[in-house]
Amino acid sequence: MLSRRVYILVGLFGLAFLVLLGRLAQVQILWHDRFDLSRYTRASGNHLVETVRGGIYTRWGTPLARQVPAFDLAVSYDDLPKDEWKEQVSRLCGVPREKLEEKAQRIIRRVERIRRAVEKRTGMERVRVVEQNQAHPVVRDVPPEVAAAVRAAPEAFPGIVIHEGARREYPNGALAPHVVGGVNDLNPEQWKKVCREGRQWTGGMPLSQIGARYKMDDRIGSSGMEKEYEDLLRGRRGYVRNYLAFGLLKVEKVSREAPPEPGCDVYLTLREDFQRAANEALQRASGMPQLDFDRGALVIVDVRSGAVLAAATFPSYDLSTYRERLDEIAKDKERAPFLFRPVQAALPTGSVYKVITAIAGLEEGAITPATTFTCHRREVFEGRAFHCTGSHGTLALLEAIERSCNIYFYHTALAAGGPALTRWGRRFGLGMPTGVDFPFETTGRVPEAHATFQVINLAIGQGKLLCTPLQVANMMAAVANGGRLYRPHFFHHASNSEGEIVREQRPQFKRIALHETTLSAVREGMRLVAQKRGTARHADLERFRVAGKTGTAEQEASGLNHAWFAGYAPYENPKIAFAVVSESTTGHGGSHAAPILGMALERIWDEVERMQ
Amino acid sequence: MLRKLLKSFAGDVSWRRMPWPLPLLALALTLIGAAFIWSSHSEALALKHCIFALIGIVVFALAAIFDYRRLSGVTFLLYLLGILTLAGLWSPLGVTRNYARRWYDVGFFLVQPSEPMKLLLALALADYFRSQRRWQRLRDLVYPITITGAGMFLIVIEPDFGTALMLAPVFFGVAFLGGVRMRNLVLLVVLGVALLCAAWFTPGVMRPYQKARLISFINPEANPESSAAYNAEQAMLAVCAGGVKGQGWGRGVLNRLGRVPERHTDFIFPVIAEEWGLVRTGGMMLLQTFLIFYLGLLTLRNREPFGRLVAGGVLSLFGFQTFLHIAIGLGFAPITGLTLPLASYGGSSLLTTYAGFGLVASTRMHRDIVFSDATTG
Repeated sequence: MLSRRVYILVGLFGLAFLVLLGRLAQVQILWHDRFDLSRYTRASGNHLVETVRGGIYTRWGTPLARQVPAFDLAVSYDDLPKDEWKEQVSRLCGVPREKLEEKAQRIIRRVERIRRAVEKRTGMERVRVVEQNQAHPVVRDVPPEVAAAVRAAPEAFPGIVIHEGARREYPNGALAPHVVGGVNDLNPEQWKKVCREGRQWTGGMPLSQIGARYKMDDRIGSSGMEKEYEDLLRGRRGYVRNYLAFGLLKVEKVSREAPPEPGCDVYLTLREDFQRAANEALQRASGMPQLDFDRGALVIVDVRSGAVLAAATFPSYDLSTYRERLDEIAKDKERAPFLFRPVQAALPTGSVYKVITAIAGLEEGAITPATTFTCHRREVFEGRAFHCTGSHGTLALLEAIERSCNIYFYHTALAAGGPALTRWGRRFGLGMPTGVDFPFETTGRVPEAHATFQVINLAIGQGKLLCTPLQVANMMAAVANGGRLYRPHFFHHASNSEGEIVREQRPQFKRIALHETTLSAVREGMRLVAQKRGTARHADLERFRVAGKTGTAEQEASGLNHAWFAGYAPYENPKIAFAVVSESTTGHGGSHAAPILGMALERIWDEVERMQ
Repeated sequence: MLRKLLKSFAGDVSWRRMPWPLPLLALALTLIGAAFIWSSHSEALALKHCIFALIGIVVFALAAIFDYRRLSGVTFLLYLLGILTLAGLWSPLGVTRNYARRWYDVGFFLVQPSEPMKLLLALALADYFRSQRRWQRLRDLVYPITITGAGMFLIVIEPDFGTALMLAPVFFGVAFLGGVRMRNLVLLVVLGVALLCAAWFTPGVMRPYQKARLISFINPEANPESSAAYNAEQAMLAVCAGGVKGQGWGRGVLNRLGRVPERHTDFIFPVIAEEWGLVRTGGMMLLQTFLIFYLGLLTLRNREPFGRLVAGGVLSLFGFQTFLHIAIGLGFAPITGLTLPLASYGGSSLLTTYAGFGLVASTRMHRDIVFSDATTG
């Protein structure tokens, strides 16, 4: 019996051994991660290494936006409430004192917010956060002589330090300012969004996590490509963390670091020559009284890929100088220079929609190219009179497109039916999101048409129809390329700092099933538009072998028109599709919009011919 | 003359029966301890530990040669001597360190008389329990409880709660192996817990820090700022930090930073775990378990009641203290200020352990002679 007790005792010890060994394994394997070395080592010199934001370039490398070194004037946190530095900085940089005061208050509020958050998290009181030991930029991008003055005599400028920062430079700021977009200090809403996505980095998080995360005082792309490709452009910060490792015989200095990753350079599909020609065409048009051009847009896309080659809007601004003219630009509410018309202005298209009406009629079997209707300038449908621009007599489809006969298309539309008209418009991407890689795209709409007057209105692009110039150009591209509705895009490729391509745009399209007869009839009709008898005959476009369609959408309220011209070129081998719109003009598509295209094509035609 | 002296001291000792694993395992654990005393305190202290180990080996050899049966009958006197020595701490000879009066200063080092008390208690109890066949009556336990209680009381008032606590496993181990009925043992455990509760609620018996340790063990959230919770957490963190491979000897960050308290004594296990990691620390625990099993084997093989109970007492003392120390480091037990036998720094403790092992060796080396003595008269 006693021997059994020895067994029991020893067995209990054996059991204890197993339990404790299991516990040891639990603590040392499962809980190992709970031990954060950095909390126990005395840090000496922890800092993050800034990255460089990528640039934005045109297709062939003309810089639109790029990062250049700059000096920021910063004030240490404890000195922020003092008045001395405000006096000095105001004198040095010419910034009004109130602005500095406001800026200082903003920084103090921000740091207080961080401090309270840390206090809440740790449950400690009167925490002093890292931000309170840092200097905060008050004036960004100060002139080098100011930086030199401060650096040369730091004792004369207590609390002021010069940080080496970077600023965004816009060597071609007026070329495509809306496409490039802007970079701003994170505003509270953006910060909230960043936090929601868990991409923030605040004091207390390990330095190694900084990477692509945002600090509260970071900048973020807020519009255009800067916003759309923020993730590519931004890059990743690196860090250096030095700490002392306690060896038995000596204390070693160890550093852990990760190098920063510069942001990628983004290359756009925009071609400098095309874009410049488009801009200048609009600019010149605005100076020509006979064109009565006050605001509008010109878009050129590649019919074989959906790449946007030029997207000009007028009026516009220059990225490198607009900040000084901000009030003036913002005041111009009617012309809205900040509106990127090619993607954001949705307008009725007028007769341009007749292309859709014709396709709907042909595809639904309502008409054939040989079907004729007779135009007497005026026609009554269900007791209401509808008018045409002239008395065209009896004509077939080609002539109807060539001369933009309303009566012909009323009959066609009624024969095809309202739903078909709507369906075919949407099928060609009108009134639908194009999916273009531009933030805040306007969708527009193609209305449902059931009542006779609705169908008749839609047949000639009046009424509630709203399309953006890009949608129209994209539709024309689909006509030109035989029914491939591409997703238009500005992005061509992005390359990293080693020049390797990290992302590339591949063409994406939806196929629209069309009969060859439909296509050839519509194309031929559009070819005639720019010929001797067509509505655009005065625009002198014959040598560019343009196929297109004019449009004049009447606005009842103002009596002014939106003049359109859209199509593709060259007609025998289409390469580009385009849309020009002149908003709120007294003129017509053929007389007031088509010439603008002519001015642009004149500059780039050789290039278009040379396009592969 | 010398031979005669040796004969009276050693009796008929059988050298061939020397249980070699015992001193070898003990020496291995001592050396591991010395290494970590070096890394957690100083080279000098590690050297001192080694010197004690050498003395310990001599003590072991002497105890092993010594015929343990000669102790039978005088164990109570020895224990009484121990009690007097403990009481003597309150005379001017006693030394106070860290608000505790635990030591005598003998010049070369400080003697901590509570350490040998554990062994003396084991001997006294073994002597008592071996001379009766059945211990069915509760009344038979009055004597052993009294002597255990007296020792515990004198150690508790030093104060040294940890060491006092270790008298309990000695008692229970010897009583258990001595054949006391389970019912009575369970009753005693219940009584002990009740006594502890009474001590808790009687003002002045338990010190605030002892209460704090217990509270923080039961509920670490109760007062996370308390030093008890802090110590426990740092110890656990050190174990965590070790991982599977460990940070390397002398490279434990928490050890080097001094985050772990009393690293060379009460918290040497977390240091070992941090620097050695799971694999090697587990290996050390395996060595300790081998040692316990070997002591168990020696206990089992011994048919002589006194020798058997001496071995059993040493076994339960070593086993309980070792595993309780580890359990504290792993957050399984409240902090009681307990050293890891052999490994932790402490001369008195080391020498006591070696003496205990020596006596166990002695029970094996003098076994057969029981019969020869009996026959010759």
